[in-house]
Amino acid sequence: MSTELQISNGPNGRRSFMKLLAAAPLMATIHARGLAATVSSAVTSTAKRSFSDNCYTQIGVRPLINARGTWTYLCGSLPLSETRRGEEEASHFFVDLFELQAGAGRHLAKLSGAESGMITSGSAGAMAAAAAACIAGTDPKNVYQLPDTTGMKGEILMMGGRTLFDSALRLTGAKLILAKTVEDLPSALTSQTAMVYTTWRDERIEQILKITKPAGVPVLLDDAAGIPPFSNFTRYAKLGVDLYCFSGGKGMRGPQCAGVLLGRKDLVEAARYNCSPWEGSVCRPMKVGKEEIMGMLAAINYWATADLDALNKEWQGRVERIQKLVETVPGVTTDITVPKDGNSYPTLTVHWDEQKFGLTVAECDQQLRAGEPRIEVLTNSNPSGVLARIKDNDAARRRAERPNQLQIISMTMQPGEDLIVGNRLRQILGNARKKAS
Amino acid sequence: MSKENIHERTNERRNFLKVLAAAPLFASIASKSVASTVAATIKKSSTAPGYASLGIRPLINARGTYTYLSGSLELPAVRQAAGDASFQFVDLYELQHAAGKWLAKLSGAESGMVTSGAAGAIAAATAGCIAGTNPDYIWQLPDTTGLKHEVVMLGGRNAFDSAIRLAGGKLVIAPTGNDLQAAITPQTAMVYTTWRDNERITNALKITRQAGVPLLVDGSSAIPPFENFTRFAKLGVDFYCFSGGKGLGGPQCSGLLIGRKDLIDAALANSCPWEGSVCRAMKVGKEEIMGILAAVDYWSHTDLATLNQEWQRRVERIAKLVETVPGVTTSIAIPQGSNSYPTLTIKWDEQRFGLTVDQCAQQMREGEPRIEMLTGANASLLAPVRKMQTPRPNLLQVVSVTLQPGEDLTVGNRLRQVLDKARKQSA
Repeated sequence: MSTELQISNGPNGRRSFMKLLAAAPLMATIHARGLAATVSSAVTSTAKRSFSDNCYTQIGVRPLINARGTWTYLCGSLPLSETRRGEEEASHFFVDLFELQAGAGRHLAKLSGAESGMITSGSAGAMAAAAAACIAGTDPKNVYQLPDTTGMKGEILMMGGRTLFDSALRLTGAKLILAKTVEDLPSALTSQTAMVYTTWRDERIEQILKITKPAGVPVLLDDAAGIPPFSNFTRYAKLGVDLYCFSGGKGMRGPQCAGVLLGRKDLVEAARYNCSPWEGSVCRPMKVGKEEIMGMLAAINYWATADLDALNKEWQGRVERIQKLVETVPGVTTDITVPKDGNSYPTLTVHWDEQKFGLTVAECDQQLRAGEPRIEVLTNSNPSGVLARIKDNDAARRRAERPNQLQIISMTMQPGEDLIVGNRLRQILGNARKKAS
Repeated sequence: MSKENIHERTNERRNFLKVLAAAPLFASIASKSVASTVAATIKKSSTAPGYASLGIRPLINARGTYTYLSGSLELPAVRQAAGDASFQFVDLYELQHAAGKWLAKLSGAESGMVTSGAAGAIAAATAGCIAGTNPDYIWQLPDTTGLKHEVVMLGGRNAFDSAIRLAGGKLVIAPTGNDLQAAITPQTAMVYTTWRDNERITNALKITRQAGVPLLVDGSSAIPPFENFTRFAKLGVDFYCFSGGKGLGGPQCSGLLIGRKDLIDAALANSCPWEGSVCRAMKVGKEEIMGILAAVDYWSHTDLATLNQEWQRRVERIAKLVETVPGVTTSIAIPQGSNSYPTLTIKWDEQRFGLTVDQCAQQMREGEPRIEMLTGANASLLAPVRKMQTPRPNLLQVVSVTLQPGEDLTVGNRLRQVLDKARKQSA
């Protein structure tokens, strides 16, 4: 250990020594437990969970430590124990799904302050259901006719431009009209506008509503990664947003293939009418079972009473421990921030001079992935983006163009995994630095 | 003695024998009492909202694997697998890939994938056939400009063709095998059918192969028998799909698409988790993927004959109980092609009893515990689709597979009471 830490170079050396001192208790923990033990103690929840022998390795799939965040291709988040229990209990009885969605809607209304709600197959499923509802309404002829919108209002106005997920709107037959700013909105509204879609969550949403309400056009606010904080669950209803949705399998830790659509009763009813289990509805393939519905409600119940401050402290502690470990490598700097617009979890950014270390962010990422246990961290790369959509999307283009950096998202790590991540990252960076010097 | 009297006496004797046949069943009904049977199955242990607190009445499902009645109950092995899967993160691309290899081994097909259901499989298959694996085309869907996008509906339209249309598929109808050749054009991306018999599939394949157009066989409710899992591959069907939450007893929002590697790869390229794919909204999580694999594994080594005996006995017990009501007749049959479970049909003279099939179904629904029966009505069918279909005769039926152990007595006894009361009131 000490050989990795060259602490003789003046002020830098002294700084590194202080950092080593700060990390000492963590290193002691790591050494005392041994990596294997650390892994297995991270696994208090079930005996079945070891990285080398589990249901996935049996079919040749390597599970991973998720330090990348709630990406769908990495399974979003792990469900809360409340979610699992909710699903398990639901699985023992038959119910009528029409009634269950109506019952869920009443429950969601009570918790959110919105008039009604429903459980969807995810945020994208909620977008599709909302779009179909605003276009076809509850006329069975129209419902069955979708995605052919002949004779119906078929335009959806995209505030700020297209998104990676707008195929969920287009599959209902919607024609997209772009409005870059709030100022562009009034002229973009036509007699054919069925819905306005936005991912904006700031004061612009109120500005939009001032224009759409008199025009009688409903607004869907897509806030897929907006919970936590749970305050967003009620905030949009208070603002008078017609419809809004969240992904269930991200921050909320419900079932991954679940989401929530909340809002006006007439619109939610129309959304249900264009969804499974209706045979002939355009959203029939976006199935959600009783297990996912009840699991999702259990997760929402958890968040309604969860202490976010305590959670944030726990998440912050995870990335601080990693921070202490990687900062023992001279030349490595870090900072911790909490993103404001979605994915609001303490997030650690790790910087080093890629040239001096002879190690790029992408190479470091690859080494973390190739090691045992496998670790996924956040970088610029997105293996789940359909390449062609980037040129149509400003945010995606900006993201692809900005300098690559390595980040660690606290929320998706499981207890104890922070030490594994921090120690491995320290080793990789330390090795690179030594080799390059 | 008049002829009528003799007839009555014979009837009485016949009924007496029927009561005798049902006697052991009455005894076990009395000893258990219906209420305690139900109470034993309904347990509640957490503070999260349960069905009761949401105002939802669970039900005894004697109707079969209808999606709106939540399909089937998950097999214990499925619950276990879905639970185990929920404790670790994996890469969903890798998981789908591994699932594909595993499904290939069991089915004899080249590859496979787990979808959000049979409708999800149809959508993924269609998108794959139209856009292939070209990212520009994938992102472009459901706009099919410049792409082959006609889908021939062999046998006509159905309630689920919106899954084809949402991907940009334009439907071309071929009512019979003889219409297929003429329906295929240079714009044909895929041929879709729900036909499951060897003869018609083989004939269709002769034409589609020649034309170089893939054939999708929709076998949503065709398992059991598990034989269909391998049969379509043997016939050379390009790809085929099953619902996971019906007979398979997997997660309700899961399904399987199995077939040619190039077609499955294309279907995956148009599916979740790809951001920008048309099927992104049809999500399936790791729990559902591992759950449905466990269900397939169960069926691959399950003795269907034994299960059929168990299912047969359930409906036989119900038959014995309802036949104690004079004037009620029953028959048991196993439908061929799909939903192949022992199914009991119960008949009575609706006029003489003063009780229609719908009224009887309603009384079964309103009683405690609630019981859902199969009739000609389908609460989940949009009206325009209903008009398109040939109406089914309105018969009262009991489908055995979705009944849970012990529920057959509850159903049989209640049905007996409802019918007997009607008969007495109108006599």
